[in-house]
Amino acid sequence: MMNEGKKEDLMEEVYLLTRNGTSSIPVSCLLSHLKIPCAELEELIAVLRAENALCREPCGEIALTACGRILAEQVVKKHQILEHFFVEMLGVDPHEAAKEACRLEHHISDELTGRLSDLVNRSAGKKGPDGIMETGISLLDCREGDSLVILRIDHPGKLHRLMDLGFLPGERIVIKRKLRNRALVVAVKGCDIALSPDIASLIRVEKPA
Amino acid sequence: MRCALIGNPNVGKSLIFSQLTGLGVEVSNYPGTTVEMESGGLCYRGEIIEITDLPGTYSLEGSSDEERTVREVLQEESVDVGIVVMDARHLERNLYLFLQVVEYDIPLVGVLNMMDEADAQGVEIDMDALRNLLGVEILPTAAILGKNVNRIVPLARSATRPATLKVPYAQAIEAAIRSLQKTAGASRRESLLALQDLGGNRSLASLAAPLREEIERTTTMTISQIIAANRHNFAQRIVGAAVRVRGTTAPFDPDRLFTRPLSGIPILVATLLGVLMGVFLLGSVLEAWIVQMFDLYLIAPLGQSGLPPLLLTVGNSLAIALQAGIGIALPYIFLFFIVIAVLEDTGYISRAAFLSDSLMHRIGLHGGAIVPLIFGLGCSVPAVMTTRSLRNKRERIIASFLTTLVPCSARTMIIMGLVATFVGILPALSLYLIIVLLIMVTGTLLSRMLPGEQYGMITEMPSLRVPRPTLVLQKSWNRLREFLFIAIPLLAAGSIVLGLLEFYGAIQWFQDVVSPFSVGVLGLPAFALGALVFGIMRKEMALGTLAVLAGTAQLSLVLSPLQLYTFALVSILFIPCISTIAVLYRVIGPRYTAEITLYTLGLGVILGGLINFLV
Repeated sequence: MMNEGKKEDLMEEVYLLTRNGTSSIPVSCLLSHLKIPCAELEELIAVLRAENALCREPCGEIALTACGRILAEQVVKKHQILEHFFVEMLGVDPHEAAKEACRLEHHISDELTGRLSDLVNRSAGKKGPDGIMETGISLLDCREGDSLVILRIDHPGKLHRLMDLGFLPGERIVIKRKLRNRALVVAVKGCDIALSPDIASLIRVEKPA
Repeated sequence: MRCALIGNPNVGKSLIFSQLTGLGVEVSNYPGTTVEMESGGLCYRGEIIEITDLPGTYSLEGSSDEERTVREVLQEESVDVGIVVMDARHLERNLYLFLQVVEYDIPLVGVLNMMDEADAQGVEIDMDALRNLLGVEILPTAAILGKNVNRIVPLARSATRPATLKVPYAQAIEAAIRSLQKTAGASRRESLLALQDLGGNRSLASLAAPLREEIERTTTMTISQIIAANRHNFAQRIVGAAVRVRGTTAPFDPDRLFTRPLSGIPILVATLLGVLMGVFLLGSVLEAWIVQMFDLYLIAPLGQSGLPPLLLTVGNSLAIALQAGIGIALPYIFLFFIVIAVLEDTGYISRAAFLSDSLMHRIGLHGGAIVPLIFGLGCSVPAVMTTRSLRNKRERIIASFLTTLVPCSARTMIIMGLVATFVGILPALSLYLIIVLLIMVTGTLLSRMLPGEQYGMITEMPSLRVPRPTLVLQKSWNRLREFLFIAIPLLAAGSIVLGLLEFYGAIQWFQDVVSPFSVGVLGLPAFALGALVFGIMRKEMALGTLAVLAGTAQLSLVLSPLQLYTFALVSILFIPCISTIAVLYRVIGPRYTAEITLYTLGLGVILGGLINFLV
């Protein structure tokens, strides 16, 4: 019985190695990356070719078929979601997280992957265009009269005053006034606090559901 | 018995303090800081009770001078009873500080001030429930009406036990506290401080560091945030159990006018200009009258008294010092102090700061610095004093530097009396332009050079109030007294030294010595430099002395227009007057006072020299 995990590993590897533009890769290259015996690799390739997931180019190199590419993408996505969940939410060491994700990616169902992905997105936010994790929106981008919930304060260490006044994750605040130069008056714990734009930019908020 | 008043800013602490102690108040700086503390005594049933008004803070665990001061005073264990003054309208946030004070294990009394306003806003507080929850006596007061303030001291005398309530911290924090208590024998408060890397106990901090790292590694918040959140949540629970808010119709909010640019900026400009013009006009009349009175009844009789010449010189110098001190102190400084007290007590200052925030950011400051800079146009002394309201030393230093550069009314008189009269109105305006440029350059340079980051504004906007005239006068008088106390001796000493130098012919000798420098570098005759030295006493004295030393009031006969221009520029820049130096010393300490003095001296000499060589 052929190991499903090893098949998926092979497709994943071909997918990752051909992502940078080349359409196919030599078998020798796969051998060095996968660290399995040559005979086993040849056997895997044969099976996947039979399943119409891989094909051998005339020059002898290996490439993914359209169908194989879709399968490989799913595996890679599962890996990413798992790894992200382990590192960002469980605090696992990134190296360990990658190894765990490599094992679990072959067993986790699509349903579970989807739910895990929702959870990760809800709590940690979506990736911004620059690849940095962004949580909610900046207080600076909100309008006068908005009622908001604080999600996070960047650099909280140097701004003790903010937390003393009640600016903490989970606190509900209202923007009472916003000038064109983006200075703000914010009501927090029943008091009005005036903030410079540079201070407000450190406060990330979301609109309450 | 020693009591300390502790509380947030703007809770009426100072008002309660002044009602408890009356006039016998002593203002002192806490050792090693520029933080002001007022103490006073009162006698209750034969016992002397000393009361200290600690600086208003939102927390005891920040790193500002004020917070450190309050922390240290409470730690010293010389405080017998802590009186925590709280704003009944914002009980939740005020309890946050209360919960921190509780951890200092001193007997406490809670004062709920501003009950009248809380009532008007429909805030109902169940006093018995609050007493039970907090475990200390709670006294509702309305200091502005004088209500119940007389019951504070009897309650404080009967307070003997510290409050027993404890903030329930997150499990991880409680475990860390237990661990520190077990291994180092630290108290709950010491453990909490060490976990936040505060408190100055090095060995405890090193024990706490790995615990902190472990806690912060497993959550997304810093340890200070967790502790703060625990306290806020606990305060919220207490308020939830003891306070009910009846729905009331919101009254008209004047901030709709004050904090909107369209109406707020004209109001701001009108207020500041109105204050300047008013003080300037009223002050100049008063000043002329006071100076004349001194001339008529002190200096002139002295001249005819037939005293031996040496005594006469000393007497004359003293009279001139008093004339200078009182001649500016009463009219300008006292008037400004009154205006500042009014602006502070109404709460308008924070509105002005909010509106001018982005403008001030360009010179390394934030909105809070608008008031000292504008008032600097009137008189540097009260302007420098208002820099105390800025949050940290870095901001106070930058603001003090810039404020001393702003041409005060005396320097305006030099510009008008010399340049506008003898040279022309455009050159006079160009002097202002030079100063504005210097302020911008200095601000930019200082904000880059001084250690520490530029902080933005985080300012509470207290609700607007009608100020109490007695309180305003009392506050202004205390500040004026403080000013006279430090400035008059300095003025007297300076004046006597100058008088004696003149008496022994040293002024002539001084002029001979500086003549090469004066003529060579600044292109000014030596007697002009003598006049500049007198300007240190009182800036406008430079003008009068120049006329005396030149032997004519028609200065254009003895000095070229360029020389007049240079003289005016140098005298408005170089070395702040003695009164300003005195108040700088008080606000930012000796080192920066010396730096400002040297900086302005350098600016004056370099710019004067540049004009001489280039034009």
